[in-house]
Amino acid sequence: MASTMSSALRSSSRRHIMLLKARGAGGARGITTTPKPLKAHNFSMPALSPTMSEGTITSWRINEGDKFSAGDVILEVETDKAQMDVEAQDDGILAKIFVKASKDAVQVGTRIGVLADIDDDLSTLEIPPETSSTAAPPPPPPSSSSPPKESTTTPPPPTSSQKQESSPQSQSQQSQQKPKETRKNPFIPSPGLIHLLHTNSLTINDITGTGPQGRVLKGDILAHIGKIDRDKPKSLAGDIAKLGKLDLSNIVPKKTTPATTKQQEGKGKEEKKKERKPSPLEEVEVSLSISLTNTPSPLETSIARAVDAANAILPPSKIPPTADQLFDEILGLPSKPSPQPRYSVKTSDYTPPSASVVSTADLFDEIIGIAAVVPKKVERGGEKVQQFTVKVPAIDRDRAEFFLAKVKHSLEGQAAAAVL
Amino acid sequence: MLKTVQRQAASSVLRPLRSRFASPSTFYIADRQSRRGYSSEPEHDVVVIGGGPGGYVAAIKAAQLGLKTACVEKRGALGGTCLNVGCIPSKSLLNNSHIYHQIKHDIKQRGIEVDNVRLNLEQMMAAKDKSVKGLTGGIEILFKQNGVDYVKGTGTIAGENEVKVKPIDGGEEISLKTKNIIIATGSEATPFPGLEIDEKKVITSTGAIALTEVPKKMVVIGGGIIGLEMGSVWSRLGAEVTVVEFLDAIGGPGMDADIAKMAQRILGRQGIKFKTSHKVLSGDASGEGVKLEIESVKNQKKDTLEADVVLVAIGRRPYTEGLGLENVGIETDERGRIIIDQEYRTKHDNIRVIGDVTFGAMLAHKAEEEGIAAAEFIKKGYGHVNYGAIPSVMYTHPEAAWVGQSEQEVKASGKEYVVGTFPFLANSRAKTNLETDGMVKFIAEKETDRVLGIHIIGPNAGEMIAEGVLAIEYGASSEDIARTSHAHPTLSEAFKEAAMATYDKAIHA
Repeated sequence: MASTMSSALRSSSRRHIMLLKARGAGGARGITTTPKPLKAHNFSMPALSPTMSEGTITSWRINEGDKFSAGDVILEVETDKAQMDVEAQDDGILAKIFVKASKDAVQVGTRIGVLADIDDDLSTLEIPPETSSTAAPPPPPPSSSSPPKESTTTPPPPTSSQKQESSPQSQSQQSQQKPKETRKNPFIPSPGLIHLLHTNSLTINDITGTGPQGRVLKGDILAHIGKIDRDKPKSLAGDIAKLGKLDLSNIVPKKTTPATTKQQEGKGKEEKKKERKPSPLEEVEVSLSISLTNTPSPLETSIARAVDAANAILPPSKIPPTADQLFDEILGLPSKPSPQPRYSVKTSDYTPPSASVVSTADLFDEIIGIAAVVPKKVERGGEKVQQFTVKVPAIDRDRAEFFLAKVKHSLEGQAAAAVL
Repeated sequence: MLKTVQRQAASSVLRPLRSRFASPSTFYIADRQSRRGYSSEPEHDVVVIGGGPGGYVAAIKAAQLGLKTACVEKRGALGGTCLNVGCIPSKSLLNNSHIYHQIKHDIKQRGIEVDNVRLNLEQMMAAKDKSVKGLTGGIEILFKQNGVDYVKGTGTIAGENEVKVKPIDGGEEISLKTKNIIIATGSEATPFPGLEIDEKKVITSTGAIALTEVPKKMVVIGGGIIGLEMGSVWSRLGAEVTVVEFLDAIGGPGMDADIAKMAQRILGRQGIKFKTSHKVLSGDASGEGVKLEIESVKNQKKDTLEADVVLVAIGRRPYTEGLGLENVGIETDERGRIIIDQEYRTKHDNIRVIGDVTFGAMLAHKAEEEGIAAAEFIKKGYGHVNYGAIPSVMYTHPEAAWVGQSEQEVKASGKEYVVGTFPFLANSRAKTNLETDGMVKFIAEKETDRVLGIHIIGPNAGEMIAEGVLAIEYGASSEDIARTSHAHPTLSEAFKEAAMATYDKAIHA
C-alpha cells in the first residue's frame, strides 16, 4: 500500500529533525480519512524553524533507492542558523533525489526528492510530477510535530509541492490553512508557549486560541500537536468562563413571587450538580404504606398534624451544617429551614403550609434535606392506603424512617384521635 | 417650576463644584425619558447612592466618561466601611501592632535589643485616624477634580428617576432628578442573636478598631478573615484571644484547606486559641464582662467562656435601610441582597446595583470593579468584571492570599488537576528575613497546565497574589510563570518555584 509522504518535522532537543511519514493505512487520526493516496510522494525542502526560508543540503546520508527506517538521518541541511539532521519519522524508500548536495541554497518547499513506501516496487513506481515552484513563497512552517508514535495523528504540514496534487490530504491542508490566513494572532506568545512552539517548529499563527480574547494558551498547542484531547482546552475555557460571571442562579426573592425562568434554570443546574456528586448527601427515597381508614377527615388536616407531630420529636439530623446555613440562621431568615430539617407533605390536592420550602430551588435546601413527602394513593379492598415517601439525603435515612413511623402511628388507629 | 425649586434646594447642599469635564446636555446617550414623553429634563445623568469603594469609584468613572454625576453619602466622609471602619484602619492597626509585637518578641534574635518597650494605644489609634482622614479627604479631592457632585445626606429612591436626599446637617430635603441610579449602599456587620452590640463589650469590626484599652480576654465569634485579623491585632497587643468557629477550619469560604490548616497552626503558635467546631449557644453581657455558652458540634460538650470583650465577626449583610427600594418595587433575595442581572440592572433598566449590597463576594476591590463596569454599561453599553480572577487576602502575619479556585472546589468540579507547592523555608529571601512560615500552592488543570487557583500563605502574600491574578486573567499555564524571570533573592522566587513544581520540578526543593 502506498502512502502519502509529507515532510512534517520534529526537531528534537538534539537538533534532529524528524521527517514525518504519514501512512494512509496507518490507522492514524486525521489521515485515515484520506482515500487512496499517491504511490509516491514529493519530498520538499523542510522548514526547520519558523523563520527558515531556504536551506543548503550539505549531504544526503542515504542514496537513491535506499531503504530507511524511522529515526534514520536522511540528509543534512544547513540554514543561516545551524546545521540540522533531518530524520525519518517512519520507514520508507528514497525513490529519487532531485537536488544534490551543493553549496546552493534551496527554497523551503522546493522538491528535493521523492519518497516511497517501504514495500513499493521502485521499478514500477510512478514518480509524481514536480509541483513546487521555487519562486513560491515559503509555506507556513510545518504544523505538526510530536513524538514519533503520535506523529501520524497530526495533519502533515503543507508544502507548496503538495498544493497542486489535488490529493485529499492537501485539500484538507488548504482548508485548514484558510482560517489561519485570515486570522492573525495579535498576541506575543507567552514564555511557556515560546518553548513549545520552537520545539515543535510551530508559529503562534498555526494555533487557534481558546484563552481570554482568543489568546493562545499552552493547552491549545498541546491539543494542536495531538498530545492531549483536542477538545480539552475549549471545554476548560468554557468552565472558566462560567466562573468569570457573577453567579445569579438560585436567587430566592424575599417575598413570595412566581418562580422566574432564571430560578428554574438554576434548579436544573443544581440537579445536574447533584448527579455528578454522589455522596452521603445524595437523596434517597424512604417509603412507608399508611392506612388512612381510621384517620379522621379532613384527611389533609390530619396528615398535616401528624407530620407536625412527627417533626416535633425527630432526632437530630446527621447532615453537616454549612457556612451558609449558619449565616442564614443568624440572620433569622424566615423561609429558611432550621438546621434540623423538617419533613413536609405534599399531595395532589393539598399544598402544605411550608410551600415556600418546596418551591425553593436552593442548593441549601437540597443539602439540608427539605423534601416533600409524596403520598401515593393505593386502594386496598375498600381500605384507604397511601404510600408515603420522603426524599432525604442518604445520611438521614434512619431519621426519615423514624419520621414515617411516627406519621403512621399518628394516622392509623386510635393514635389519630390523640393527635387531633 | 418644579425644576426651579429643586435647583434652589440643591444648591444649598451641593458643593460648589465647577467641573472641567462637565458635559453639555446634548452629550446624553441614554435619552429614554424624553422618548417616553417626560417633560422635565433630568439634572444628572447618574446619581450614585453610597460613597464607599464601589460608589465613589463608580461616580468618578461616570464623571470621567462625561456623565453628569452626583454621589450621595450619609456618613459625612467618603470611602464607606472600607476606608472609615474596615480595611484601611484595620491595616493600620495590623501593621503597627505587628511592629510592636516584633520588637517585643522577635528582634532580639536579630541582634537588636530594646528596653522599656511600651504600648501607647492612644497614639496607635491616632496614627490610624490620620491615615483614614488622609485617604477619605483624598477622595473628596478626586471628586472635585473629576466634577462629581458630592451630596452629604441620606439618599432615598423616590422614583425611577428621582433620589431624595435628607441632608446630614438637618437641612431641607432635596430632590435629585437623574437618568440613572447606581445603588452602592454596602453592608453592615451581622449581629449575633442574643448579644446586643454596644461596640464596647460586645463589638463588631467597627468597635474592634477603636478600643480604648487592650482587653485581658477577648473572644472572637467567627474565624473568618475579619475575626482573625482583629483577633491578631489584640493578641499582639497583649490580649488573650480565643476564636470560636462553628466549622472545623478557619479562614471562611474560599480559603484552601491546606492554607487554612497552616494558618491555624501559625496563628496558634502566636498565641491565639482556637475553638473550631464549636457553636456559641448564648451570651450574657449583663455582668462586668461577657459570658458565652459554647458547645462542641462534634460531641455536644458544653463549655463557658468569659471575656472582657466579645468580637462578633460572623459575616456581613447587605444594607438597604431607608433606601426606598419599595418605592420602585425593587426586590431583594432572602438575605437582603438586591436582585440584579449580569449588567447590574434591577427590574428598572436605569437602576443598577453594585458591591456588597448585591451578589458576589463582599470585597472592596470587587465593588470597585463593578463600579467601573456599571458606569461603562451606562455610557458605553458594555462593561466587564472577571469574577473568576478576584483575589482574596487575609492580612494576618503571615498573610494569606488566593485567587481562583481552591483545591476542594476544583475537586468538586470533577476536573483532573495537579498541585505544585513550594515552602518559604526553601526560599533564600525568606530565610534571610527569618520569616520562613508558609508556602505557595498552585493548582493547574492536569492536561492543559492552565492555572485554576493560586494560594499563598507567607510573608507578603497579599502583594504576591497580584501576579497570580494576572496569570488567571490571562489564562496562563504554570509553565508560563515558571519560564518568567523572577528577581533573586526575592520572596517571589517561591512563586516561580511553585509554578515549576506544578508543570515540572522545582529547583530548590
